Amino acid sequence: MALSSTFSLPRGFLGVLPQEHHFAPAVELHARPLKTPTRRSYGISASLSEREAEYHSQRPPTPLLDTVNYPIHMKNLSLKELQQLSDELRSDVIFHVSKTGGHLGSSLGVVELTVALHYVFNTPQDKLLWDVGHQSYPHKILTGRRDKMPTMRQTNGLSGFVKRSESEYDSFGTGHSSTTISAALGMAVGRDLKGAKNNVVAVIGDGAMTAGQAYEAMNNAGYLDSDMIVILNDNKQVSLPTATLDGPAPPVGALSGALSKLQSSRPLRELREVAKGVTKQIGGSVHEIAAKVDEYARGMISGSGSSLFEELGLYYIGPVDGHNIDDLITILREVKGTKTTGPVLIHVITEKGRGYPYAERASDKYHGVAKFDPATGKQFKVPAKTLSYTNYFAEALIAEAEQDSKIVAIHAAMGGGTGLNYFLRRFPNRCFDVGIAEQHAVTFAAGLACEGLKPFCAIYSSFLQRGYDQVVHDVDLQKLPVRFAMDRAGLVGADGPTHCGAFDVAFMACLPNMVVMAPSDEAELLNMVATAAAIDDRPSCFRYPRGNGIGVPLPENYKGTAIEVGKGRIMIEGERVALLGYGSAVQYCMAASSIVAQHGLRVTVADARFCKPLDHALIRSLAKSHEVIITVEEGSIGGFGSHVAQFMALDGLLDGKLKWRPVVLPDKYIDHGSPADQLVEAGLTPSHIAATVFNILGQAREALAIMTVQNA
Amino acid sequence: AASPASAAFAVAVAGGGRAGFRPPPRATTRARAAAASGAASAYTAMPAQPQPTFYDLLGISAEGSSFEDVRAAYRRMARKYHPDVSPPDAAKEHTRRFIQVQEAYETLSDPSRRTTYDRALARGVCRLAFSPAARRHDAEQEEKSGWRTSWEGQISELKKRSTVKDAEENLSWGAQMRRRRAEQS
Repeated sequence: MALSSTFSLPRGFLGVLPQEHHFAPAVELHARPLKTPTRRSYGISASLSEREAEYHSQRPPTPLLDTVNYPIHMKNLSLKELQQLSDELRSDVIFHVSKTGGHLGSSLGVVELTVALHYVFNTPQDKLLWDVGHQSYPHKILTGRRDKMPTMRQTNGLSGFVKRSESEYDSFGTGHSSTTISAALGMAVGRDLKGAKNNVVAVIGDGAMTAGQAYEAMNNAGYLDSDMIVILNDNKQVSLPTATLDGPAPPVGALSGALSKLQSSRPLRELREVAKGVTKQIGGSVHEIAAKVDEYARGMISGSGSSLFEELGLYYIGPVDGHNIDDLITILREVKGTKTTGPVLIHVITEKGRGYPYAERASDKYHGVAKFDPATGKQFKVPAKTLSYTNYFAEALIAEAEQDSKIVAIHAAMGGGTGLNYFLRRFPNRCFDVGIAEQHAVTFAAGLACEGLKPFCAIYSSFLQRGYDQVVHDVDLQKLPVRFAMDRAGLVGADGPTHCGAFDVAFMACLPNMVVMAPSDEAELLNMVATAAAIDDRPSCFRYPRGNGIGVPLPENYKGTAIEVGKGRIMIEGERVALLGYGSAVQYCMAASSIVAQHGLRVTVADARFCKPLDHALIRSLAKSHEVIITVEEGSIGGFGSHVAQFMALDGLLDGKLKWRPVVLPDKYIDHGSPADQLVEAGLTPSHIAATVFNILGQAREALAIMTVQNA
Repeated sequence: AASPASAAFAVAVAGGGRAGFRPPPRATTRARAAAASGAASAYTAMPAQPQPTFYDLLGISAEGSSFEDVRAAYRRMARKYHPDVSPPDAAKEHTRRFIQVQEAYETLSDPSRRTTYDRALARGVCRLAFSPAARRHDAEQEEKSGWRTSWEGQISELKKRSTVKDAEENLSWGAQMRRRRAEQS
């Protein structure tokens, strides 16, 4: 093939190869000279030079935190001690995350809030809900899990998100965003029905507020008028990262502007002072009148922002300095002590990454980091020879878009995670970040397709679940040519089951008009991007996993060639058993065939490429020339294997001596851990596949030998 | 008036700084000793002699100097230190000075920036480098103190509202449940 093999770096890139990681952007941004707004190139700055360490290198002593295992141990602390506790908690989070990796910036932003909440409220009787859950590290430390922090995000260790089965202090499991107001309302209503008296508090970020479900919940909460507290944690970070490759960007969406206006609503304050003075003079039993005056004043003066929450029926308090424990405790105490409040929204302003200078300055605020050195903030990245599939996708899309001006890209607040920040930099007018709004993203793409554009929706497989009805009803039913690029398909490692893309093959392939395909390596990915760009009469989708490419020759400039739709390929010619893989599972099949070959059997390995439409000719030929067909995919039941079985049954291929066995993800949720551990747990390792081959052939001894070697 | 050393020390102990990094304990005790003895030595994390302020750079007094004074002083200094008119061996030093003078003028000639700078000086937070971040910091501090008034009012209103919230007319589901719970207890 006349392809020049190149592992060339993405356009305009300088420095270290970006590593595929949930958190790749943090590294890339450090490879470039950071534009730090606090430094002027010529002024003499009183702060320390960049080269010196700006943080402790050794974990500082934490005398107060050492005495707090559960929130009850905090109840007798004074304000000063609580402040000290916050500082110790902050450094504890930094040092723990430096050893394990994880989500840092968000946790640092809520240290004071966490301390205040646990101090004022009586968890776990009072319910505390953390939206998304990645900011819950301080919460976990304060609720009996400090000693387990070194196991964060590892197999059998602490989950990186909030999980009910992990602790009674984790009231509601989260991972996807914008669910806590709904859940909190449910808990509040349940409490009311039971006649109980506990408090319910939901902490939700301004990014999560861009999702429709938050409004559905607030709307309902205002109507039901049940007592509950919603804390809006506003740090002006709406997307991940709320930055382009070249520096911070203003948050997407109109809501952020409205929230900003709330922070400086001076006229309302002044009027309120006057109103307070007037009320004092009138005195006595004119509470109702004064309340009415204030209500009108609010509506008149405050403009858009607080009225939005007020109109939805939530009482608005704020803005509040989220790093001032005194303020937080005062407010929380007052609200807790007031009977019959209905739903209250407290607008808290925090800074993501607060307290760690490197995080404060980074464009992505150290949202998610690998292990790092606390003193210098440098992350330790394992160098790899290939880029991540995410990067390859971005490069491929750029290559297609260079030649076709109709190609546009849409993502839902995941510019870093989907790689579309690269696309944004190259085509600033053709990349759309809609905020955390997958449903809207899909229908928005459908609208674009109506106008003849070629939209690529890059949404993680598990996040696309949120926009499923839109995929069915707005895209597939009308046969609009929207392309879905589903990253993080299959098992995802440390993020766990909340982010696992197990179901996308099943829910996409059952749609009548959808073309469903999956690349087995990065070159195939480039070709499938080209294929999707070429399919203009129906919707299409392709899935690719978390991780790096395997290292195959790539076409020049990442420009793939469209492949024939519904055509698979044979990787290895063999006999007796055919391993028909879909997507990245093909690589496991290749490895399995090597293991099997050591025991004297050469099996066929085929890459189906398409789940819909299936390569009927390939399947028929495999069925005719083999005793066993094993379909392998990293997805749930009801996906690729089911479609192959359906076809074979209808075609009469199963009426003879042919045996079919599926290898799929098991019927349970695989917990977070290292990718290798997860594969073992799922039974999808090459050894498992090889053992399956021998089991079907009745060669139990070989199967046992393979599994024992693997487990030795 | 508090000396710059004790003012700086007060800032450090209050932990109000944005950076999480604290200076090593030794420096703090030294500063504390210095403050206690009333010595005018600067906070030990900084260089031994106190850095000049913008006013020192321009050679004018902090109080009472009008905008005209500032501008005249700036013109004088600029003429003295402009790289084009300085001797070649002193060019580098003069350029540095010129830039400092420039920054001083920009800060002191703008009334609001000057007030914020004066306040920062009084707190002992900075002398020479008045970076945009510090400026923003002070604007933020002002805004935040305004927030307190705002939410205090909101809380008192919440309390007022709560006394009449569950009156008979309020037929919301939550109100009904609260009334029922109140009756039962």
